Amino acid sequence: MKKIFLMLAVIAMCALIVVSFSIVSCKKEEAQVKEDVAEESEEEGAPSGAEITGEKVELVMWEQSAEWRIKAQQSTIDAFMAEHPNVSIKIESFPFVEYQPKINSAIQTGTAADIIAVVGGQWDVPLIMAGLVSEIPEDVMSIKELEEEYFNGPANASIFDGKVYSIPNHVNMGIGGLVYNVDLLKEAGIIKEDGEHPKFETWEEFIEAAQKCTKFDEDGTMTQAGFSQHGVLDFFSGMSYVLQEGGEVIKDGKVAFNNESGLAALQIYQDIFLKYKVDDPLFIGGLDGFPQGRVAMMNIGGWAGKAAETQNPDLEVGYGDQVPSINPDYPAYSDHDACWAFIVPENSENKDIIWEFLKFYKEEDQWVNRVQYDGELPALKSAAEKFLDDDVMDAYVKAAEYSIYTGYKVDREKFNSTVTTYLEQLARGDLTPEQALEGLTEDLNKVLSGQ
Amino acid sequence: MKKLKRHKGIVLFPYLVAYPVLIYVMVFLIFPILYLLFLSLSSTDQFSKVSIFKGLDNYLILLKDELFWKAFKQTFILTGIRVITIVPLSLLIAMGINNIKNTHLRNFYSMAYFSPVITTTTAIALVWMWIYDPTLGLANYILSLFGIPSQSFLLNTHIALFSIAIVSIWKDIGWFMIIFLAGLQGIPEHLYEAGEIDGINNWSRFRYITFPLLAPTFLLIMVVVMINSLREFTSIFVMTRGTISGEPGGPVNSTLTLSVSMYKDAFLYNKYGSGAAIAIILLIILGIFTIAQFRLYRVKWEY
Repeated sequence: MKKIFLMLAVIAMCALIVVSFSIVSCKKEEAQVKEDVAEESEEEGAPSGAEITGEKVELVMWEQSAEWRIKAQQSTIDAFMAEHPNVSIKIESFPFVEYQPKINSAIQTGTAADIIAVVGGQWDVPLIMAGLVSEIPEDVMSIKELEEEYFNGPANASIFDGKVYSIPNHVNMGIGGLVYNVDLLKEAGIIKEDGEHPKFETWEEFIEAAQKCTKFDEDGTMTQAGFSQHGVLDFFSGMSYVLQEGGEVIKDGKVAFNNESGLAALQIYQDIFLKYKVDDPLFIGGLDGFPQGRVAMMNIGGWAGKAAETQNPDLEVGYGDQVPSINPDYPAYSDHDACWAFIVPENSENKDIIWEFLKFYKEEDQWVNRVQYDGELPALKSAAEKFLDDDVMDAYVKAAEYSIYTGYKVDREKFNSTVTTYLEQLARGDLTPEQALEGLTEDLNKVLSGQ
Repeated sequence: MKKLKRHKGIVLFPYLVAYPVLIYVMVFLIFPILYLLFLSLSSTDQFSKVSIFKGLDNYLILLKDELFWKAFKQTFILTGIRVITIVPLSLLIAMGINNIKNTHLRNFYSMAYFSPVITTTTAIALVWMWIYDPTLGLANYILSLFGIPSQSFLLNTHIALFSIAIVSIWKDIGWFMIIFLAGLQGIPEHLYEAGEIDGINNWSRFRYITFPLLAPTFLLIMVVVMINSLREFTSIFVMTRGTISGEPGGPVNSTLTLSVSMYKDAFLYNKYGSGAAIAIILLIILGIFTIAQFRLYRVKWEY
C-alpha cells in the first residue's frame, strides 16, 4: 500500500511538472502564431481589417510613471483619436526602477504593449539584436530624414546597424541648460528683477554665482547648495565634462577618455565639491533637494524643472541659458547617451494603425504641442527652433546641437552605475582623479566587453 | 472486516494529508532551487533564454570581484549588528513585560513593541528616511539637543549601514520579544519558587533557571535573526537607492549586501548566472549557520 501511494505521489509530481512546462510552451507557441500571422499580413500587403471596416482597434502604450511625460503623450493620443474615432490608445505606466525588467520579460512572452517608450539607443539595442523589435518602415521614418531633420543625439540613438528601429520622443537634456530656484538667486543677488535670467559668460562666473548661493550652518554643514547635481545623473555630468574637454566617451567599443581630457573632466568634477564647495556628497541635493528649495541651480534638462514644479507647485523655477563649458576651447557639449523613444515589438498586431500613429506623433505641430506638458526639447529641429527666444526653451534649443550620442554601452545601467560610484568617491575625496580614471577605465572596459 | 477498513482509513489519512504538501514543496521549492543551481552554472541569454553551460565560471568571476567581497563583508556586519542587538534586547524587553502584573498594561506594551512588525517595511523605510533627513529630520534634531552636529545618516558611507541596521532592528525586535515572552511564560513557576527558597539572587535566577530553559527559544531566535539579516533587502532598497537610476546599495555601495547584489545582477543587469550564483552562495551560508547553531545548542538541551 505504501509503495502504491509513493508511486502515486511521484506520478502526480511529474504530471505537475509536465503541465507547467506545457503551459509555458503553449504561451511561446501562441506568441509564435501571432508573429506568423503578423508576418503573413505584412507579406500580403493587405491593409488591416480595422482600417477597411472601421472596426474598433485598441492599442496600448507603455510609458514610465512620469506625470509630465504621460500628459504630453496623452495630448497627442487625444488628437490622434479625434481624427481616428475607431482607434483607442491607452497608456499604462510603470515606475522607472521596474520598467526595463518589465519590458524585457513582457516582450519575450508576447505580452508587451503595442508601442513602448524605451531608453532609446540603450535598452532597445539588445531587444533589436534578439529580433524582438520591428524595423520602422521608411515611409514612417527614414535614415535620411533623421540625419537631415533631427538633432544628432536622438537621430543616432534611433539607428542601429544601418536601420531605424525607434522614433525619438525628445532630445535628452541630461545636462544642457540652467534650471534654477528663482527665490534663492534673488536672495543671493544673482538676479534682481522678475523675468531676469542669470547670464554666465564663463564657467568661472557660473561657479562664483553658485558660491554666493551656497550656505552652511555654524557647524559647517551645508544647508543650501549653490550648484548640485550629485545623486542624479552624475554620469551625465561626468561624461559631458569629458566631451567639453574635447574627449570622447566610447570609441570602437572601448573607453576613449583614458587621457588628458578624462583627467581634466574628473578634476573639475571633484573641484565642485572639494575646492569650490558648492555641493556636498552628504547633502541631499540634486533632484531630491531642488523641489524642497535646498538647491539654487542645476545644469539639467527642462524636464527636471517641470518635475520639480509638479512636486512643489509653490516653487518658482527659472530656466536659463546654457551653462558655459568647463573648457572655453570647446562648446558646452552634453552626453546624449540615450533618449526616450518609441519601439514597436515585432509581434505587435495592427501595425498599420501603429505606423499611422507614429507618423502623426512626429508631425511638427504635435512636437510643439507636447512641450507645454513635458518641457522637453523636440527632437525635430524645425519644431525645436520655434522655441528660440522662448524664456524656458531658448537655451536648450541652442544646446541641442551639442548633444552627442556617445554610443551603445552594452549594459547602460551597469555602465552608469560604475561611473556614478567612482564620481561619488571623487566627490568625497576618497580617490584622486588619476586613481578614479584608472579604475573607471578598467571597470568600464569590462562592462563594454559584456563581462 | 470493519476493523480492517477502519485500520486502512487510519493508515491512509496521514498520506492523504502529507503528499499534497510534499508535491507543493517539490514543485515550488526543490525544483526552483535546482533550476537556480543550473542557472548559476550557465550563462543565459536574457531574451532567447538559451543557456550555455559554463561550469564554475560565474562563481570564479564573483570570487575575483571586489564588489562581491564588499557586499559579503557588509552582509556579515549587518548580521552581526542585528544578532548582538536583537537577541539580548528582545529578551530584556520580554522579561520586563513578563514581570508586569497588570494584564492590560502587559498587553499594551506587547502591542506597542509588536506594532512595527505588522507595519509594511516600505512604509517604515519611508518614515525613517524622513527621520534621518540631514536638515529637517527628527534624528538630527535630537542630536542637536546634545550638541552633536547634524549627520547625513544615509549619505555618509561610514554610518549608512548602521542607520539601516537601526531601522531593521526597530522593526523586528517586537517579533522576537513575543517569542521570548511565550518562552518565559512557559517556564514553570515552581522552579522560581524553589530558587527563592534556596535564596538565589536575580542573576542566578536567570543563569540557572531562565536561560537554560529558554535554550530552544534562543536557538530558534538566533537562527531566524541570522536568516532574516542575511536576506535583508526592502529597507536597503527603499532607503538607499538613487533617485533616477533606482539602484540600491547606497553611496559608494556602502549598504550593498549579498541580497541587494543578487537583485542588481539578476534584474538590473540581466546577469542571471551571476545573480543565481550569489543566491546559491547565500543558501550555502544560511545552511552552514543553521546546522552549526543546531549542533551548538543541542547538547545544552539535555539536563
